[in-house]
This record gives sequence, C-alpha cells and structure tokens, in this order.
Amino acid sequence: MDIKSTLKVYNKLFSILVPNKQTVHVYVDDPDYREIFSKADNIAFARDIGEADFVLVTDPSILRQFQSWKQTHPHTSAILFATKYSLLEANKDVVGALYWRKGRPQLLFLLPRLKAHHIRLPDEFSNYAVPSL
Amino acid sequence: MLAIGFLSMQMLHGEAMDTLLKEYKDKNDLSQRTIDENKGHLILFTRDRLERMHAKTLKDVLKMTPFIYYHENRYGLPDPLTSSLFEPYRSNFIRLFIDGVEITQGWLGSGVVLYGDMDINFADHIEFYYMTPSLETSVEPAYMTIFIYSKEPEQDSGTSLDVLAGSRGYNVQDVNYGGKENGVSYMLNVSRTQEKRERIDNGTEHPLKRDFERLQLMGYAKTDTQTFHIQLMQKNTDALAGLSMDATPEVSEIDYQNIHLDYRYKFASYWQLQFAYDMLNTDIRMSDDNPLLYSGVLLGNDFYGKSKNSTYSGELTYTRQWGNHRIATGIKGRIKKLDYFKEKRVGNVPLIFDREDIWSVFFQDQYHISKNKLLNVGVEYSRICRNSPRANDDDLLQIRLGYIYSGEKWRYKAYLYRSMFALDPFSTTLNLSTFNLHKDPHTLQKTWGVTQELGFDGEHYSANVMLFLLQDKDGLLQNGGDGNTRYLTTVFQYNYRFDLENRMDLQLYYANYKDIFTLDRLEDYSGYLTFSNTYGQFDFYNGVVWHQNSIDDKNYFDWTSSVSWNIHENLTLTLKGENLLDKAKKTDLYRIDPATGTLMPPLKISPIDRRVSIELEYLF
Repeated sequence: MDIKSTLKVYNKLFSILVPNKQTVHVYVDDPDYREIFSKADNIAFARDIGEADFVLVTDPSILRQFQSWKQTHPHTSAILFATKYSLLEANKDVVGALYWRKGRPQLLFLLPRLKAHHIRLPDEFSNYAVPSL
Repeated sequence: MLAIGFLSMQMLHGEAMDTLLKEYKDKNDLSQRTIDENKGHLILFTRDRLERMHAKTLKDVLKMTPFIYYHENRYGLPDPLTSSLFEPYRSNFIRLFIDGVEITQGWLGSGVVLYGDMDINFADHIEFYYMTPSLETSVEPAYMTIFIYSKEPEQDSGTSLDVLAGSRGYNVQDVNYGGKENGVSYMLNVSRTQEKRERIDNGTEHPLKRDFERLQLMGYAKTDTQTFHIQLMQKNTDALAGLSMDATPEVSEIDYQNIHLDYRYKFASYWQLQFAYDMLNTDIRMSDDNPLLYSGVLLGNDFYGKSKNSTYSGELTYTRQWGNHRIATGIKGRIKKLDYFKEKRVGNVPLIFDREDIWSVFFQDQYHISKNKLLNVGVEYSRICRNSPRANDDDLLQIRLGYIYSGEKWRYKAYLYRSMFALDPFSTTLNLSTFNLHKDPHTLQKTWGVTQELGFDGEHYSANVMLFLLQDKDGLLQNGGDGNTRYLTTVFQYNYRFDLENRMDLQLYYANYKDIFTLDRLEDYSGYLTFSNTYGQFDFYNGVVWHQNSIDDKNYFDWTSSVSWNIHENLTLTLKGENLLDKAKKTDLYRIDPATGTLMPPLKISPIDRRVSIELEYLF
C-alpha cells in the first residue's frame, strides 16, 4: 500500500470519527497497516482493545476479540472500522468500511451506527453514508 | 519521517474526501506495483477502466489500442497485424505475458495466436509496451509486449460468479476464487465460452463460420519468493476460410489444446530463476472442392492433420542496484520442438527441421542521473539454432539507448534502438519449402527506431503525445513489397476526470507508411472517445472507436454501450451492446480464383460482432 495517500485518508477519518484527539490510539493487527500507521506522528498503537480509540477490523478474529471485550466492558467507546464489506455486514458495532470493489475504493458509513456513537458526518460525506446495507 | 508527519489536521480538514480517495485510488492501484517505465512506451488499462468498459476478453482491449487493432486472419485467429493474404500468421512480434511470464505457442510463434481473444475475467490490469520492449523480459525479440496481471486477493478475495447470455446464443460462465493464507496468495479462474458469431456471406449456400467453444483455466499460487502458474485452454473452432483458396470450404475446423506451466524463484536478494513449459496440440480438419492452400500440391482437396509442439523456456537473471546504477543481466533460453505433425493419409509430414533453440544473453544499465532523470543502455545477443543443414542458424543483436524524465507533472521518454527479427519456425519451414513467403528465406529483419513521448498530469486531467519514427530493412512477410518500410506514427491521449466516478478518455492516432506491401504510401487514422459515468446505483459506459485509412477512405465506427445496475454490494446486472451501429472496422479476406489463379474481390469481415448481451455477477 502507498503510505502517504493511505495515511491521508485515515487521518481524515480519525478527524471525523475520533475528533479532538492529538494522538489517536489505534488497535490494528495487520502488519501492512501497522507499518503504515507507524509513520504517523499522531497515531499510537493500543496494546489491547480497551486502550483503543479506533479499532481497524481487518479480519473476523478482531471482531471476536471485540465481542469478548464487550462482554466484560459493555460501554466501550472504541470506534470499529473495517477494511472489507463482509466485516461491515457481519457486526453492527462496525460503523463504516474502506474497501476495494472492482478496482475502485469504496467508503461506506452506516448512519444508525454512527448515531449510536453520537457521530454526525459533515456534509462532504453525504455520498458515503447510507441508512442500511 | 515522511512529509505526512508534517500535515496538520487543519490541512486535512480542508482537503475533501473525494480528493483524498482519488489520490488513494491512483497510488494504490495494483498497476503501480508492476509498471516499468523502462520497458518502453506504455498504454495502461487499469482495473477500474477494464471494469467500466466491461471488457470481458483481450479482444475488447486490443481494439482500443493504437498501432495495431484487433484483426482476425483467414483461420479466425486473433492476428492484429494480418495482411489478410495467405501467410499462416503475421503477429509473432507481438508477445504476450501473464504475470511477467511469456505465453508462447513455440513452433507457431506468439501466444497471441491462441490467447489474443482470451477471457480476461482473471485480470486486474493490462499494460501495453510499444516499440522498445525491455531486454529483461523477452527471450525473443518483439516490438510490442502485452503484460496481463492477475487479480490479487488483497483487493479480490472470495468468490465471484459471472454468467452472460447474448445474441445468437452466445453464453459465458465464469468463476473466480482467490485468497491468502499463511503467506501464500492464490487465485483460480475457470471460464467456459460458447461463442456464436455472425456468419459471413461468401456467395454460396454455406456461409463462412467462426463460432468456437472454449474452456479456460488460469491459476496461481505465490509467496514473496516463489510463484507458480498454470494455464489450460481447450478451444474448438470453426476456422473461417481456412485453407480454402476461394473461401468456400466444405469443412474448416481446428481444435486446440494448450497447457502452460511456469515456476519462478527469487533468491539471494538479486537472483531470479524461471522455468516455463508450453504445449500446443492442434487437430485440423479441412476440405474443399478445389486444392487447398499449401497442402494442395501434394494432398489435393483434403487435409486432416494433427500436430503437437512443446516449448521449454528458462532464464537466470541478476538485478542489482549499485550506487546510481541499476544493473540487470542474464541468460535466457528456449527450446521449441515440433513433437509431431501428421496427416491422416500420409502419416508423418516431413519438415525441413523440427527443433529450434534460442539462446540469449543480455545486459542493461539504468543510470539515475538525478532523482528525476534516468539514462538506460541495453544490449542483447541471441543465437537461433535449427536442427537441419538446410536451415541456417541466425544471430540477432538488439541495442537500445533511452532517456526518461519523471517530474511532478511533466514526463518525457526518448529511445534510440536497433532490433533484429527472425521468422517463427512454422513460417521458416514454409519459406524453405515450396511456398516462398520471402525472397530470401534466410533474411533477418532489421528495424531502427527513434521514439519520443511527452506527458503532463494536471489536477483533473492528463495528456500524452507519442511520436515514433521507424525504418525496416528486409522486412519479413512483405507480401510483394521489398521490405524496406519507413513509418511515422503518432498518438495523442487525453483523459479527464470529472470526479472519482466520472471520466472521459480520448485517443487519436495517425500513421504514415512509405513502401509497405505493394503500396508507395499508406495513411492510417484511428481514435476513440469514451465516457464512464455513475448515477446512484447505475454505471454507464459509452465508447466509440473510429478508423479510417487511405486504402478505402471509409470511416468505421464501433459503438459500445453498457449500463450496470448495482442491485446490491454483491450483485450486479449489466446490459451491454457492442458494435451497435454495425459499422466497426472491417478486415479484407483475400481469395484466389482456383480456375484462373487470379485474386478475387476480397470479403470484408468485421472481427467485432454486433451483439447485445446481459450479464449477472455475484460476489461472495
């Protein structure tokens, strides 16, 4: 992945989903994304989901970890964001996803899930938000 | 730390998400990993572009490319450079690579023979390099190389099912499956095509047919250091005019079975070892009420033959960065064996030689003058050996000097080169036999070229101009000419992006040939204009390809239009029309009157059928 353009997109997402944070604590398992996020000053890696402001869901095991965590910490405020459409479909705690479909990147947010986190998207994101899948 | 570390949140708030996603798309497109600007003058079809065009076969893409076009020869085979006369095949110097490994038909020449209209549902993107192919990649000389790259599981994991149905009963079924586990990426694509094409009126009760059925399998498994590919194809064809002189065959059918296997291993940081095996079986059935071309001298009106040829390719290359120099060197070899060629009545058909070996050694230096400027020099020597005292061995020398400038917005390339070409083994055999396709069967073609390219990238658009000056000496398969052709060709491309989803693409091409075939002069014009648009759940595509040349001064227009309904994230329905005006460029198919031996008026055949099709694609 291209580091600069990927970081620009994710930093923009952080500014909307995790606003007013000088340092965003990200929980991510995937080595490619970890390499990219390690290049940014404003991102720190969370050691576990409990420390995280933002959880990047790259495969189903992350969702299982989150479910286990949520059972003992039902009021967790971490924002879950996926890299595949199937992961966005699979769990209602995932608020959005950035993934590839037929050569085009797709950015998708689910409005009811954002509302549950009291997140309101700016107007420029109106094309990327849907009421349901 | 990258410059991104200095970006402030205020700046990012100012940059719209559309703009950021556009940059993300451009920089993360899989083509960015494979493009090699040093390979030559590039025309790229990205994944997005192929999807928007609904390009299902390589034919759909070839018809958009300048310099060549998608033509078919008298056997109904993809033959972009066909003269439509009586040579067996004319496009051997267009070479096809899948994931960086050449697909070759060995004895018959280029892999384009069989794969020129292949199903490309397995493909992510396609790169065309013109006129100056990199010496690193080609075992045999070529003046155009086509690189098809497979989809990758990081952008296409899971399964896709695709079914199409169209005019005259045309139908396709395709399944693609890919994934990555424990560091191994894999992908498998299987497609079945039942192609029902337009019949060609030849003035008899039995029009010419070019239908075919094809089963195609493409697969790979790879890690960081090792790659394995397998490709299989079974293609049963109606072979159009075939060997009938006057294009009125009673029987004209050819079946093909093809296997390609390759293995690549990268080791010790700088080395790469690669092996490939290609095998082609053909089953030829021809019959006419007059003696056939080539075989009629001995066999009269029928030819029922089978052949098998096997090709073994290997290469060992060393690539290393030394200061500002990127050095590449290596040795490459290819053994082409005609295992057998037999006819039902006579048994084994004796040919002058049945094995051709090619050994090449190359050296290339890419020297970075500065961060944006690159000078490259390359040389390749090839030795071709044939197992017969009647068939000379050949020595070929390719030399190339190039300069590349890559700035933020401006790009420039220039090359000076000399290439040499020899005929494929099958044509060489015919040459040495009764059918002199060339005045001197042992001549090698030499081509000198001076080529330039200038490009500019704006915020919403890009523009590109290419200018090529070329001279052939002793051109192969000149069909009556003396083979000393000079040509000037130029291409202009302009792409405009309205936003992330909507774009326009324009291409214009002009070529001026002096002393080609029996013509003093030939001028060729072509171009296309395409629009890709998205409104809500619907994607639209409209493209017109235009052709004209000085032979008939007629304008041809090939209009393709499609609308896709993205019903759901995983389900898409598409309606597509091809050659809707029925005015796509036609190729002449020449005929000989068996009674007089003179040329008859050619049949004019469009290789692009007029067709409407409906497609359903499901991803899961």
